[in-house]
Amino acid sequence: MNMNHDTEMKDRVVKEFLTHNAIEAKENKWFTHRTLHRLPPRQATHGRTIMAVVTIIAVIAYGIILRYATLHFPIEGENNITVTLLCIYTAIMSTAILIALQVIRFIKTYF
Amino acid sequence: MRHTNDKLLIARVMLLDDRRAFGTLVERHQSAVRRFFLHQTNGDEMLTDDLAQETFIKLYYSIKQFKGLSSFSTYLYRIAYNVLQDYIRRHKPTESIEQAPDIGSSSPPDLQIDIIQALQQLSPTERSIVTLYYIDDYKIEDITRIVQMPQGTVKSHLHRARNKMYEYLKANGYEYESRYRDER
Repeated sequence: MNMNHDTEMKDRVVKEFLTHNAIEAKENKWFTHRTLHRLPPRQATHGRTIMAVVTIIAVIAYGIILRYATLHFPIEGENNITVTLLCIYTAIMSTAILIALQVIRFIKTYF
Repeated sequence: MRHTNDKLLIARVMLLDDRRAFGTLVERHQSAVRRFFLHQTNGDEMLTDDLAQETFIKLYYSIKQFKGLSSFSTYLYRIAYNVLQDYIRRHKPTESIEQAPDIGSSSPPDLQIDIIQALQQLSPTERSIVTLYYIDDYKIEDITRIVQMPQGTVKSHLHRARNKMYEYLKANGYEYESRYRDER
């Protein structure tokens, strides 16, 4: 801001006065708690809905992969066992991760 | 979560309705917002806390409208300023914003009464602009976003407020105190 000498001097005096005497808000440790308490009840958001849909799809996909693997790769030879188990383990692992994420998120809502 | 930046916390509130992230935002910005209201309400702590809570609740409802074009604190102050304007409109011609203070805080009481009396020389708009400019250290451009006024209007409010404050301070001997301090 361009100021003339008079304004500059007034600016300096006012700034000095205000910065030296500004009131600091007293610490209020309940403020955040009270504010959060006044928020509306939680509702499903897009993010949560997407996660829920992904989990359901993962569970269905897990069932299909499992069924496909057991039908097309019957456990006979050594190689087939490896392919079948790989499919099953991959499906179980990804489904378990997605379900775990959902459970963690659900638990987190209470803390 | 304490060290997570504001933008990440805002994204978590927007997408997942993450209350912990929102709590961190409140924790992080509450003292600045409360300090702003304290200067607008003549040091009325109860009213300050009510208005600050209302500000954060309005922030919660409008957080999806935050586009990141200005800083988050500018956006928050804009909500705070609107909450204050609503309060003034609802309680016109009134109470604590226009009356003498009942204060309690960290600096010596006599100085507090001085700052509140000095701020009382100003209109509510001038008081907000002065607080934002001198105490919260905002630039004129940011203040125009907060109070939603053209730059020229903000500057003229600031100019008028500065003159009023200076006259008040001069009448109370503050100008000389400041010069004396400089000379030393």
